[in-house]
Amino acid sequence: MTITKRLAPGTVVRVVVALVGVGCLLVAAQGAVWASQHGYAIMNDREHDLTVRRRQVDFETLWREFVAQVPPGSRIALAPDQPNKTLWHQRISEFAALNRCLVVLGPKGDYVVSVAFMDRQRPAGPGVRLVVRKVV
Amino acid sequence: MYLTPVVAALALLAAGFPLAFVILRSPFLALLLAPLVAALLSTFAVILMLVVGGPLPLWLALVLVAGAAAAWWLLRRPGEPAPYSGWSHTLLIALSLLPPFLLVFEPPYQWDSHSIWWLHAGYFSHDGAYARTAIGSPAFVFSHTDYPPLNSAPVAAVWSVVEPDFRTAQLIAAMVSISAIAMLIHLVRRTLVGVSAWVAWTLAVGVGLASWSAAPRAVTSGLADTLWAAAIAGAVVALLLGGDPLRRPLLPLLLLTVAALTKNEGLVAAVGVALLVTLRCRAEWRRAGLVWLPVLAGGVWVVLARLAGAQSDIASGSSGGAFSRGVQEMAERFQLTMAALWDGIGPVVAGTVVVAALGALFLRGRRRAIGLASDGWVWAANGYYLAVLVWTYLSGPNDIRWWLSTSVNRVTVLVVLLAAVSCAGWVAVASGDGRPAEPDPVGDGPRESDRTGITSAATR
Repeated sequence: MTITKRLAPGTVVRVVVALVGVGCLLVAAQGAVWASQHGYAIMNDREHDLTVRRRQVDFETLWREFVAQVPPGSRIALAPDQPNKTLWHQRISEFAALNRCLVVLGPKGDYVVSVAFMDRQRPAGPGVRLVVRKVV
Repeated sequence: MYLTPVVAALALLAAGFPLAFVILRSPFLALLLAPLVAALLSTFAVILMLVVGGPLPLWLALVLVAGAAAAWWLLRRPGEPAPYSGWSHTLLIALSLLPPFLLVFEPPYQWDSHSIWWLHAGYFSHDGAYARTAIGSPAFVFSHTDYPPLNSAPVAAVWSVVEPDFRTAQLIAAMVSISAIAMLIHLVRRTLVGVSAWVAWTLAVGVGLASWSAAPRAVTSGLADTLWAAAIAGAVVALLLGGDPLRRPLLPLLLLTVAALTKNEGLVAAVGVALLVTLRCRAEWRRAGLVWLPVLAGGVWVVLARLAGAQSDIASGSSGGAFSRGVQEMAERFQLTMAALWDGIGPVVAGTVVVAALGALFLRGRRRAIGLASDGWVWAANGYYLAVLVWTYLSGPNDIRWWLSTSVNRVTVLVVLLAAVSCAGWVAVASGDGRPAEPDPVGDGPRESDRTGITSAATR
């Protein structure tokens, strides 16, 4: 003889709510799991994602060259024929703000600044250099 | 090589600690709140600099001294430690957030971090005159110079005294975001008092980890989206989920202020939360009026930015934008927006809606017993934000496909977080023993362990 024990409807609902709810929270935590794995990999290998590493090296190289070549307080103009214009115009504008320079529209600046491209000597070496032309 | 980021991180903790300690009355949990307080103090310094002029370091020094004096004065008033703020609770929160925080080691390369937040930090780090010129400059329109300053201000504070570098900027911004998520976890734990400790902590950490769900890189890469979303979610937990919302209002008010001063979406969400809290606490409308102070702070920034000549792409492009478009174009924008929302967050939100519907139908009595407010408040806040979000996509000036592809994952972090908050509430209700909740325990110790013992005995 078997004895079947009926679960109260309230208990069933509680179990369903708990299981589906925990499932939702687990799905929502997937991003944190990815971030943990990716962060751990980068911590152990700085060139884990070479594309991203190269971009950082390019930005830092350009920033150092900007500080070295453009005095604070200068008015700078952006070269209109810059390849990959949106990215590099925005980066040069950022460096200008960091160095207390003004970005002027049109040919009224003290310097015209642009970015030139070069072959990378190392896999994570710089692939760009800053071109600064003084306006006379 | 890593000296500057480490010193900057320690300075951030030291700058925010006095007021954080006054708010929480716990030296341990105050360490987790300190970056958020430091970010708020540096924001006040930036705003004063823009209004009065002068160099940022001068205003930073004045604001830090004023903050320390206010902390000293407030400490003389009686206060008790926040519940669940002992060293073990703080360590639990910190350890649960440490693994995903490792993503801060990713190179600082995110487009918006550079083009918006660190560019703003650059012009804030000098002086008032230059910053006002930069905000109104046509050359910086791409940078959304109308955006509020909180995500840039702590970076500007560091850059005003040391040579700018992006790794330091990324670490500072990540610490501020993590601080907001830590407070969200703390507030969820504080609110779930009617269930066993391990269930409450598991759910609180689960809600915190949902901060990485829609945009995992947004937490530690210098972006502002998770910062304001976690701050709003924390305020919602304290003010709309808890049984006694105005009992300890300082922390949720601070979180609302952080959100309103971090991003325009944060201000919009703060308005919605303020409306709902006013409605919920209408019997105590004088105290409930406090929630409009953060909205006022956000409004001050909006006026200041406009006076400085900042332009908003959405505000300038949406005047009549929805009405000037044809029905067919609006329908297409709507369909694309809904499809993008579903792809990004649809399954998780749909699951939590099922949980909320089942809970509302069958478990309402148990919910009241463990001291949680109606789940409708959380969903009202979520629905309000989602409606504003969809309307912005419909009426905004940008190409909808490009706009959705570049933003929808970041601006939906709040939707997932509020869905997770609702979900955690119902799971707590389902797992509880249905006994009435006791008031917040004051500190660590026997009451908490007693409750755990009672709960586990009852569910055995």
